[in-house]
Amino acid sequence: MYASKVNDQKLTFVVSGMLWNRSLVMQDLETGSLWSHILGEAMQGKLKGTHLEQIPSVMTDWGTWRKQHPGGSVVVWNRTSRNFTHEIYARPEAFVLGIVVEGKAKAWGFDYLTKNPAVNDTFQERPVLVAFEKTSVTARMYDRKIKDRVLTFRFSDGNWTDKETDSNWNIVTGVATHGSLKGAQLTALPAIVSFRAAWKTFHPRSEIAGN
Amino acid sequence: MSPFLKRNKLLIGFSGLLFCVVAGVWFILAWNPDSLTGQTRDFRPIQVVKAFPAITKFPVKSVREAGDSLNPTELVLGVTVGKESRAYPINMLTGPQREILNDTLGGKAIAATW
Repeated sequence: MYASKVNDQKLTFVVSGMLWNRSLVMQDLETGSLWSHILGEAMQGKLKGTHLEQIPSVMTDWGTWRKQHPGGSVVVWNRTSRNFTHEIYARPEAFVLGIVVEGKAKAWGFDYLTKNPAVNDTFQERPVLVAFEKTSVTARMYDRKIKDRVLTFRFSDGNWTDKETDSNWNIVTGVATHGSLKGAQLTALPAIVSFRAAWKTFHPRSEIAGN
Repeated sequence: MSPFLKRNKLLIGFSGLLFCVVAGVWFILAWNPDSLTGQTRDFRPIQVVKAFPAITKFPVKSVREAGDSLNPTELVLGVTVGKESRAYPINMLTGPQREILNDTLGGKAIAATW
């Protein structure tokens, strides 16, 4: 999920019909530049070297999303596939949640997250939380610093709390619902769900937690 | 066979072997210069199908309207920008003709793609 504005120019992206490393190559109609879909970077053309801003998004199931966003909207078109249901997670080791910060990549395997639903990690000097909901197979990533204070999260009995203040957190919105931090909101980070094999191809030096 | 010829044959055989090794390394590097460093940055796209037209218009419903027209276990990519949120069902975002939707959400121009 990318912002399509670059240097104050709004770009319109199309499927170029090309593949690179078995992955989609996008093209913008305004400059004709070719963009790697997974890297979000122009690889050829006038905008070569430009990165698109990644927008935080969540991969989850419809049942979970509709409960959490009843006032929102949804694209309802004819289906071009029927494969993308919970069933693709039958092999959790085939998926990762990954992020790139200043050219450095890190990913967490879904097999690892299944065993560790609250991962308090540090990446590129930034304390991060990788939060995993097993029932809906949803991985989210937040900056776990609030007002210069680094928090350590845990998940037990269906509740997300931080060790430092014992506040309760809504992991969907990242907002503290009870406790001394009530009302504070964690910043969502633009991590993406990717096939592990694709992640390794495009980020050969990425550290991957689990396996 | 004279000793001279025998030595010459050995020399030819050795040169041949050396040539094969050098040619092999050259071929691998020419094919992918970053293979030694483990990088795959070399941009060599392959045209597989024709380019598809841009998608800028598509049907959107409110979550309440959509309700049961989607299966609870099917995957969606959900995004929130400002006060607006939208779900993009993955089963409607594949194709390859459907892989990018040009959209606006919360006043921000976005490319919905997975």
